[in-house]
Amino acid sequence: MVNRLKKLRKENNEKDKLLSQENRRLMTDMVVYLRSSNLCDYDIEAIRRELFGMIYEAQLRGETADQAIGENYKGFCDELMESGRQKSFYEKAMEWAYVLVAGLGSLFIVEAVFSGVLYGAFFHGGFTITITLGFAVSALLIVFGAWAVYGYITRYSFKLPGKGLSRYRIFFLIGFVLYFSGTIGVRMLMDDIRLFQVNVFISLAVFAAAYLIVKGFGDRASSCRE
Amino acid sequence: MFDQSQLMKGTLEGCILKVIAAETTYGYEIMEKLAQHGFGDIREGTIYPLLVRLEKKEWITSEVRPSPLGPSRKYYSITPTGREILASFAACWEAISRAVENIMKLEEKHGE
Repeated sequence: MVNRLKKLRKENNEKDKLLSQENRRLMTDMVVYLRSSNLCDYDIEAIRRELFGMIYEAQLRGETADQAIGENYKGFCDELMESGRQKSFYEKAMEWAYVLVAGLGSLFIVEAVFSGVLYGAFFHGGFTITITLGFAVSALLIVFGAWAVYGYITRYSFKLPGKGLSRYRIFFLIGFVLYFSGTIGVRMLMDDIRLFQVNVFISLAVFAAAYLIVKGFGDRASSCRE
Repeated sequence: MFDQSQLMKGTLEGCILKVIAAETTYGYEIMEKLAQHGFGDIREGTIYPLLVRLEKKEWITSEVRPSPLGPSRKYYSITPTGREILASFAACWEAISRAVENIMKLEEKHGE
């Protein structure tokens, strides 16, 4: 069951290579938009498989994707979102848990490397790292910010591509700069407040174990039932 | 100009069920049959979300078969529940279309 989603995704990735460049771009925009929905991952890949069939057969008949699907791609995807199976509370919780564990774990590794603690642990034997309020708050802000960026890009996948500065791109850039600056400011202001010290290797082991557990449950959840 | 999309939305599911009840078929063929019988401005993209909905309601069932053009196709068949729904739709359509026809025959009185 865990491999079912990966197998289907791999098959879909291979099939996409048969599409023309324009059709592949359209397929990408539609799948990215579908990922902004509450549909479970397996259903999205199943829909992707069928969309590929529709667009590829149209391509072989010499027709455009417009002729097969219509010009309102967003409307088409909205109807699919309404008709498909929605993620359960458990599936959404697993998704959030995965984002938090993977995000915070990655930032902890970066912190351990750039604070010199890992270097110190190997060469001087010091195994502890100090967790400050600045690190904790900025790490949470980065994880939530990254999730928001992902949500924005998927939600506006039809509007963001293209040339020039559309209002969506401008809003995205301004928002990103302000948020990033704010996060750095928070880190600088609160970095003097020490919360606790942890052993860096035990912490890495805990994050690795949590990651494996959450990924295992999450993969099982996202494979859904057919 | 009257917006016929609302009328279509109400009737397309029933028409698709009828096409599928006639024989096991796939999305593009369903679209072609509908177009041949008067639904001129219809595309496979209009049909597909409806097929997803009908399958979710278990009014139709599907199986993947290889296609002569290359990618596998999903072929749809009607279920016993789907047949009941189709019969119900046919009865409702007969009643509504008769009522609409009667209304359309009303004479317009001007200047009273």
